[in-house]
Amino acid sequence: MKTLQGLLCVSFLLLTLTVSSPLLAADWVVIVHPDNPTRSLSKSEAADLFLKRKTRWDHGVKVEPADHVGATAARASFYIDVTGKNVSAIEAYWQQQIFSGRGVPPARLDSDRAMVDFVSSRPGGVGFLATPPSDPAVRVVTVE
Amino acid sequence: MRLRNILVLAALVATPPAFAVDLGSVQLHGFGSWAYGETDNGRYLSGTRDGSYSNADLFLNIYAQPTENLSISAQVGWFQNDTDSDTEFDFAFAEWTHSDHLKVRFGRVKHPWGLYGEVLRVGTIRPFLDLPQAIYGPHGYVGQGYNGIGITGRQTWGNGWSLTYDVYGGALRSESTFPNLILAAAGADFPLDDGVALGESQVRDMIGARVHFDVPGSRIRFGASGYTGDYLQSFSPDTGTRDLLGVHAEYSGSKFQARVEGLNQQSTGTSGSNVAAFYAEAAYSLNDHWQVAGRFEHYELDLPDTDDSQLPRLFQEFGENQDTALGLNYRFSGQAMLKASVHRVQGIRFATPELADPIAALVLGDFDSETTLVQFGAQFSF
Repeated sequence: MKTLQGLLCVSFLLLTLTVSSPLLAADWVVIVHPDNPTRSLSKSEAADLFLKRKTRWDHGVKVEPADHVGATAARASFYIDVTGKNVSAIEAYWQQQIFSGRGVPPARLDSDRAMVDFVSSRPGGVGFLATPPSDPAVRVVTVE
Repeated sequence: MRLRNILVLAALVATPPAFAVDLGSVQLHGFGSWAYGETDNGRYLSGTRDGSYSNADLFLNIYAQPTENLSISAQVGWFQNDTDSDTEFDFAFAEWTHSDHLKVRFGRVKHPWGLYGEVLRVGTIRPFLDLPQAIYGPHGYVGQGYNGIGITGRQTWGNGWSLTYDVYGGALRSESTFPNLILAAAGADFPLDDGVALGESQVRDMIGARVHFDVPGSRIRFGASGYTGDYLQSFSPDTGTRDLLGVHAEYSGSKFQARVEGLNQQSTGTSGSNVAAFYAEAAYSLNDHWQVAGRFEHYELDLPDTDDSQLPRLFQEFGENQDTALGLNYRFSGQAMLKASVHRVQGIRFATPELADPIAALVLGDFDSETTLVQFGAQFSF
């Protein structure tokens, strides 16, 4: 009985942490330029930014999203969590955009360092990393 | 351009890196395909009775953004099939962005119709080598593009619903094919044989629109398309008005995807007709590489004030087309895949049967209206 109570307490604690701290449940974090006043995004807002369906931040600055190259676990997890689409579906979405003349994908970067450099050098920059950065040149925003 | 040259060019542009060429504010992308097809009766899609290797194409796409609010895109290509080899000017237009809700496009723009209207030739985003002919075939209803001006945009609501819209006007350009025998029997100057005539049609003074709705919390989208205008065909001096209305719906999951589209066409004039068509397709990914697919499509043409049962069999079968297809695909990646499919077709609107005796076929209805096609090919994009 005590073991069961202990397990229930631990489970409840984990559930609470999961619900209240979405960053801890995800394999990714979204980063923006430190001057960006945005503190949090809904998943649909984040999806709109990275799929270029929303091209300006609420404060008027042009959105400049960046993506990673290749099939990393963080990339796959990010797109499933935020857009509901796997990487193949994302690739198909961009092919439809490109070959109908509607747009081109975000810049694709081959390292977390390149991602941090990209976002920190653009007031409207937004990207994602596998782990929270230690570099103060970018700031993490919560995605709920 | 010969097939060998197309394949060499495709190999050159498809070498690593596997994505676009980025020249600063200008990006270069492309796509292409090759297919072999063999039928047991005449011609259908890439197939001929003797088997055809000569189906290949390559398209290059350029996208430039000279200013923050202005983008320019263009697409040109080369294609070859069993009877023709040519270049194609697909589209070239400028888009000025006022906001995410309002963008203005002007030039030669892809036709925003249904799920596939803007990406007719892009094989890597569909489960079969070819699109369903009932909706996107050579009847000329869905155009290669329109010359004119359009507006497009997207609206999202707090509950997660979103609407993407297009409204456009100008002249719609499309290609259509008719069997020589049908045209000759109708009094046009065409030979009495089993060849196929390729012509161009236009819908002028056209106004059209398309809407997509994305359902929140799901992978479903649905919508409708339509246009109205005055049509002209190269096969006939006759003109009239054409009204087209379509509906579409799509579910796109990680492993399973399904699509359904329907179309209704009504046109006036001496060449007036009513057409109803639809298709349903589904595909399932067994793993990261293998995918199985199935599709059924139906097309039916009716002539106003005409009892179809009184028409010669040739005309009756021309007014119908059904295609039941199964496919098996191997994906190297989202940019390169091999596809194989088998189609069982009834009707001769899009499949042209072999006619040993065209006169007997016309007068006595002596021909086989069923065709089986086997296809194998590759499609890629970058």
